[in-house]
Amino acid sequence: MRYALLVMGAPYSSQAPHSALRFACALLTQGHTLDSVFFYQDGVHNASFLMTPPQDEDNLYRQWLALNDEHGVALDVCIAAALRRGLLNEAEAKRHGQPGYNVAAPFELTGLGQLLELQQRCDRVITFAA
Amino acid sequence: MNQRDTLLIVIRSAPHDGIRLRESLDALLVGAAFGRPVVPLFMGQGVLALLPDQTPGAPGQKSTLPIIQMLEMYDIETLYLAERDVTASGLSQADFVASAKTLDAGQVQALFHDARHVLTF
Repeated sequence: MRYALLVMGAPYSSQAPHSALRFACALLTQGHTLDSVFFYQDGVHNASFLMTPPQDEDNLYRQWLALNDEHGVALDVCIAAALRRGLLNEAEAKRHGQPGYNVAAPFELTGLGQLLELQQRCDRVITFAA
Repeated sequence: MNQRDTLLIVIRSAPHDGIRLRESLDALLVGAAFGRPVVPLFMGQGVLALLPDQTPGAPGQKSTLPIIQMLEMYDIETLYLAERDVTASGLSQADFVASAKTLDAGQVQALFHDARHVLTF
């Protein structure tokens, strides 16, 4: 089956992203397809490449990257929720006159409509709430 | 209701719980803007979102009531409330905005059953 995940919790403050990653791995091991992960509400914090946990701890950002790199999973971030919370890519930082940015590919800032499209195209959308 | 392509959006956040309710309503608006039949169901604390006499919160905190009132323009005419949660807050259908309609447990179940897709916020 084709799956998408909706992640609404921030890394470390919420168990949601950790559970989502474990679920993603289980899905892929079982031979299902993971189309995309969509990040909304506090979930957008997963997109920051500045995430710097201690070396001996889980680096959730790198785990998302690995999902994309090894399995082609798209990483879509709701742009409105992201901007509000201070997650910007280079283009948005320029557009809004901000001195820095913390989001880059493969995370893509996109509209909420993308989530609805995922629902249409995937067999299952699993929500990991904050 | 047949399963045409209905998107059921379940909202469980009260007003002024950070930006949570506002972002839940945004999903409703986007669904409607995409031309899909969208059905809103307010449950738990979410029933409070449909109270008619809301004001903005502390400085800068906008009220979500204008969005609720504007849903009609997006062809979302009925806003469903879970009766159980209405009763639990000590309220009744008459206390809510005109477009609100309470549903009993069986009817709530039917909404879930009849929806093609469900999103819960």
